Amino acid sequence: MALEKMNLSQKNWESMAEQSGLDMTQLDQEAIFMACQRLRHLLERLDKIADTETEVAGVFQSQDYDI
Amino acid sequence: MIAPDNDKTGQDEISHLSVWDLSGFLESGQLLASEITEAFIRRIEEKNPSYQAFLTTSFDQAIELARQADDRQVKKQRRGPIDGIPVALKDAYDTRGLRTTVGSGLFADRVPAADSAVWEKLQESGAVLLGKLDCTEFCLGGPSPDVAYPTSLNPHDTRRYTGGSSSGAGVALATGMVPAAMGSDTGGSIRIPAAFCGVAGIKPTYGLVSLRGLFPLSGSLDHAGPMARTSRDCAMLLDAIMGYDPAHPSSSKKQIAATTPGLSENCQGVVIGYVSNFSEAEGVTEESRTACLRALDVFSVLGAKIKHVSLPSLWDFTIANTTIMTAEAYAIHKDRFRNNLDKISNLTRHRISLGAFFTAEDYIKAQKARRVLTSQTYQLMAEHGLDLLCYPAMLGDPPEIDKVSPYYYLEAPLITAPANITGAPAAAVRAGFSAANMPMAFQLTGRLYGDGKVLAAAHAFEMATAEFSKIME
Repeated sequence: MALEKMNLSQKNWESMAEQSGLDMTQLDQEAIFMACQRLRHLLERLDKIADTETEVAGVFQSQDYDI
Repeated sequence: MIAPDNDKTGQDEISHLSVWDLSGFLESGQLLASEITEAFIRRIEEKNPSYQAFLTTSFDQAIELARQADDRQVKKQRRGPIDGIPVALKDAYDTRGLRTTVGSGLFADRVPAADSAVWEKLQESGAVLLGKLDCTEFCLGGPSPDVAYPTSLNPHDTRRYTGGSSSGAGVALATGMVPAAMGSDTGGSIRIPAAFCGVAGIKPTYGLVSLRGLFPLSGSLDHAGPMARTSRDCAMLLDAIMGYDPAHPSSSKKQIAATTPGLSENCQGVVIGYVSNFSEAEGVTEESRTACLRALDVFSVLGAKIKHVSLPSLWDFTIANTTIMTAEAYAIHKDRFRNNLDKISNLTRHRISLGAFFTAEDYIKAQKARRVLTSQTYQLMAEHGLDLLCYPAMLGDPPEIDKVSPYYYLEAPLITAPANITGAPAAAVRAGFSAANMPMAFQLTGRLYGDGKVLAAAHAFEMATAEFSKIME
């Protein structure tokens, strides 16, 4: 089943939904779940270009604070 | 000295004139700012009930600002080419004393205490504010039936989407309600409505225009920029609004020279890379691809050299953009989403809630990918000696309003996302009309701080293809 393949089990999903603090009754849970699954699948694409231990996000630039 | 392209100065035609022409007529004294402002007010009163581009108008203030511009003209103290030009702002730009809703019912009574940096700059240039333009909810919503304000309608076909989130700007320009507008762009929100409504727009280099007072969607991807009916007008507006702003952390200390003086009618010496894998990506229609290839033929005639190149997959840019944007948006709005979800439209609710389900690992992975994709893009441009990249601005015709999907960027790649990821200047340029008689457009993107080259090529193309220009009567 796709759930296991995406490493997003029903238990994990329920836990994430609870942690989000969102009132899930006001959301189409199936639509969001499907979007999450799709997103996780697409995020795997980035592993080949970014998921190495030596890569950094590069968000801090010292010269920006050298006033 | 600005020499207008057009000699029409009758009241009926004023609303069809470009910023360039209006500026020339103001400079020569052939038109008064107050005449121009009154003509646009009449046009808004005539057209806005049908197309709903303006959320809030500021006509009394506009008449007073126009009178002040006329006084400066009499005293030969004109502040520059934008002095006396009417503008409107996407309703995400703060305006002191004037309601700024960001398209949300939760902000129906939000009246900022300070102006945004862009409106400050425009005021210094003498611009006349006509009002605030429809903005999809929190700059990430869409045409949901339960939105708080009337949704602007595409004048080319009211059943089809205007594109977002600078929807009102696209519509107001296309219908002649305003000659100049300000939009913002996090994943394509200037370029998509410009393309769908048949007008011009540029997302400048990241940091070139201050984001201070522009309500954020995703601070690391947000760009403030102009929209108009021509790229030359966009250049005039960009020159007025760019500049280092020490009061905002994303503002770039490096700035560029004014772009308008560098405009010309040819592209001699310009090297353009046609990004073939973007143009052939999933979802791009044959018609959109062909329009882009036809544009390249025009650039060849104008003297540009064309090369075919390939960048990483459009999906890689799309998913990095979507992850960063949605995670940052949720972080901004989490309290509203936890406490007032029922006051947020269904489509926005679903789009931004997705950000609650990312992990820190996901976000960092996307930021790492952003750095790698950015390096690869500029390395490719350097290796091939490219000044510009060219590819479609849209996959195809605008979708019908009731078919806009909450997660369209997960169903097909977002062809505007690469320039948000790389921070590159990126313009949407008109490329004619589709078989369905809808506007088509291509993108020109440049190297960082190459905004002038992007606008110069776009202007040369527009001068060679005037038949693509169309203001709705």
